[in-house]
Amino acid sequence: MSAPLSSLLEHPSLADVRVVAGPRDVLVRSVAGVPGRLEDVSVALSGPAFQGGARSGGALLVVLSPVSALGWQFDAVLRRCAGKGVSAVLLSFAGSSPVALDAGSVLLARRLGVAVLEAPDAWRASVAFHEAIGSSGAAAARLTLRAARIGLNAGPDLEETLGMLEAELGRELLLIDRSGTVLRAKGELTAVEHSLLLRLGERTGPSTIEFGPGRVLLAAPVGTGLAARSWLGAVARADLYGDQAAVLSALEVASVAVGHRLVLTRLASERDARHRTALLEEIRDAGAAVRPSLLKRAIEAGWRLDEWHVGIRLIARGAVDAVAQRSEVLEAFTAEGLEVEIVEQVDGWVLWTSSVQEPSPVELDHVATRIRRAQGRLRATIETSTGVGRAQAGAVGLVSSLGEAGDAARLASSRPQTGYFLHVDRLGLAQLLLAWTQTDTFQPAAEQLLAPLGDLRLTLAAYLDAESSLVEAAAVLGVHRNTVADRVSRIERLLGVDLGDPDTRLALHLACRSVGVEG
Amino acid sequence: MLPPAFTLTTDDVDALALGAALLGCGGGGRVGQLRTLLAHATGDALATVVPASSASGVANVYAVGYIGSITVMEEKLPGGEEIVDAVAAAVRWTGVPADALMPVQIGGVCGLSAVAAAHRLGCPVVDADFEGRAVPRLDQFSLAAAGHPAPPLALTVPGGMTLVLDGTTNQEAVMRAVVAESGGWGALALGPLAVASLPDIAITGTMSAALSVGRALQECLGVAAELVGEALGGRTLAHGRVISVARTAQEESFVHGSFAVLDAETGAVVRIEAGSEYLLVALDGDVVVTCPDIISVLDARTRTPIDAELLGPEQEVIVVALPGPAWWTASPSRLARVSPRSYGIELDYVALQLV
Repeated sequence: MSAPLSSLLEHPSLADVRVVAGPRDVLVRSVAGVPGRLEDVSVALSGPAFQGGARSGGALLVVLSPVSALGWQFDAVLRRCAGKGVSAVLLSFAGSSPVALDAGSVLLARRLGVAVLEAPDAWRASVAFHEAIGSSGAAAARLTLRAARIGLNAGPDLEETLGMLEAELGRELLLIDRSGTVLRAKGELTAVEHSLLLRLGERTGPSTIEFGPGRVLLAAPVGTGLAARSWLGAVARADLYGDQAAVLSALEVASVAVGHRLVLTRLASERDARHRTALLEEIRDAGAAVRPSLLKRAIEAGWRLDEWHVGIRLIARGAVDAVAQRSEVLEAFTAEGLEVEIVEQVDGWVLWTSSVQEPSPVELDHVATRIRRAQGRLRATIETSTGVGRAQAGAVGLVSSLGEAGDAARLASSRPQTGYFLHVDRLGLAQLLLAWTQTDTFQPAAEQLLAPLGDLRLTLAAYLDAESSLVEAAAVLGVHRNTVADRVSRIERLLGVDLGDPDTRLALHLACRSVGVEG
Repeated sequence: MLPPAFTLTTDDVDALALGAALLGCGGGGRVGQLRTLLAHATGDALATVVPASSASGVANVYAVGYIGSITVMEEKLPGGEEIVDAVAAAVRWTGVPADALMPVQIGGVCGLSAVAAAHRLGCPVVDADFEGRAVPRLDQFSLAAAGHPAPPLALTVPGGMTLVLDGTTNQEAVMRAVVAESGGWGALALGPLAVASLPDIAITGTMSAALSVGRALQECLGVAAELVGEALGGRTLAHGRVISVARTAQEESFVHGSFAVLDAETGAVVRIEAGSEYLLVALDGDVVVTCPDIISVLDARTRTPIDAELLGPEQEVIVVALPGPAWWTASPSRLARVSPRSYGIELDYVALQLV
């Protein structure tokens, strides 16, 4: 293993090492520590340990004992180093004030191409260099052990665990979902980095992917057994292989701890979600008679049932994990300045905003606009059909507004031209009525009602649409009016109804609209 | 074998001063004051230099020189009689007349001081010293390295106070304590020593060596920097600017300096470590020479040696090295006295390789 000195010096464990003379661009292949005074170091350099010239090329010589004076002895060490292919010498200085290299030694270091490094503690720096170039498995073992220990000792909070891991690994950690979306990062990632994350999608095990010039992303899969797999990642220098190996093995161990916290978080979220969903269900069922105990639970949940509410319904237009993605919804609405309660549903969420006073039409308009913007924010991760109900007061009003919102959301799902967004206040009454016919109870009934007609459905729909005018219906269908009259009487016979009765006409008209006549 | 006797004249003073400064390896004290003194001596002939052997015709010699801070000596000037007084005191104490004088060390101001005192006393100078260069401590004298018992020592400090130390094994500590309390420097005379014994206990031929290397250096003014070392019988190690200077206190050599020179031609980083004297040179971290070989840093323009005390940033210099006295490297016990380790530098002697 080898690494450029300049890269090694960027490693967090070597932050206190500085170059005082000589080139920075040398390669370090091995680390050798020598105790004693500079004179002893000269002798050691002549000894068998440093025999072999080219073979020991690229060594970093660490003078383990603090140095109190330099002068010719140091020149001699530099010379021996150059002769033995040693690329860098590391010193620590005795006493608090560092001994400055004089101009002669600085020049000589440059002339001989030997880098001179200074660190407060040569022993510690020696070990850190060893580990950073990967000539020792100790770094990997230690980091892994520490990661495991954090996994055991850290609390149930994911962020706390990640924070402790970051402190131990000396670098920030990323949490990335399977699709390459960053779930957690301290700093901002560039667009290029975001696009590079997509490559994780093809990987299955611990991975190293290029991450911009000179850098790699190390990522270990986080398995929770519950949600989609995510990745625990950290950025390292591309040319420090030893460091990469150590960090990646630590990430693998840490990913177990992170996965565990994710499961805990998930369990807590699901418990809360179940509680909310059940509570809302009970309020729906209670109708006008909300019992005091139920009211108390609602208050505990932070729901202000006695206020004015605007119901919102989000129906996901694809697969959705309503529990996991609740936070995204909350984030989107909060970002638009809307304070909402959110309750998870199978296919999405119901939400509502509450206010003490009845909102004015202008305020309602503002709310609708913000909801629309929030839907737009969510679009990056979740496509939804969004419906908004009217402002209504109290628990009954909440249930009613949420019902309207649900109908509006269903309607919106077939309306790409409105951006899959509908607001009940802006809907025609007819569309609303129509929406009601598309409920699960009405539609089978309509289907059953019209079943005997077969192809005559088309005629019935056209006749009713034409305000029961035979002439008009004939024009629409492209047949003679007598044919239409004959078919209408057949319909009356088949269904056993009188189309002169307004109730019957209305019911059949709704049934036609609900079922559709094309099929 | 040994150089024959010769007479030093005032014409030789500049060359001798240059040579003494060079052999001083950046230490031993600046020679300017005594060079001026000698240049104004009465008469042309300063002293006769006789070889360090029984053939010289002189029996007993006293070694003379200065101890303490030569920098203070530049501010608190000698009266001129201090060495003469010290010799007189030693002679009075031992009852053995001074047939001749010799410098305790050839490097720096001491080498010239022996000539000045001999001129004053009208006696010859023996062509030898205890170092062949400059060293900071008495225990680094060849006398001590050879295991010769310490002869009586007379010390005269500015103001005229004279002490005679005899029978002590710790002359240096006593002397330094006295010098510290009485003005920063002192003149010393130690002896008597039999001239015939000098080849074993001293480095011979160093006065004539200083004179000849001084002359060679005088010839170097027009010579390319790279060839200066060779012209001096050694090697040029670097030519360029001083890019860093660091001085700290240190026990073994009293001060410690570390200098870096950037070689203008090769781009090499040349490190010079110094105590009171230059002790070691490393080229790009490779140590190429250490004491007791002679290391000198010359001003690139004037080609005169620069004191280790005075070497500063941005000076353009020529770093040269010459092989040190063979006496020191003849045995491990001798070498141990002047090797880098004797200066607290954890390194064995590295002999200069002549190209």
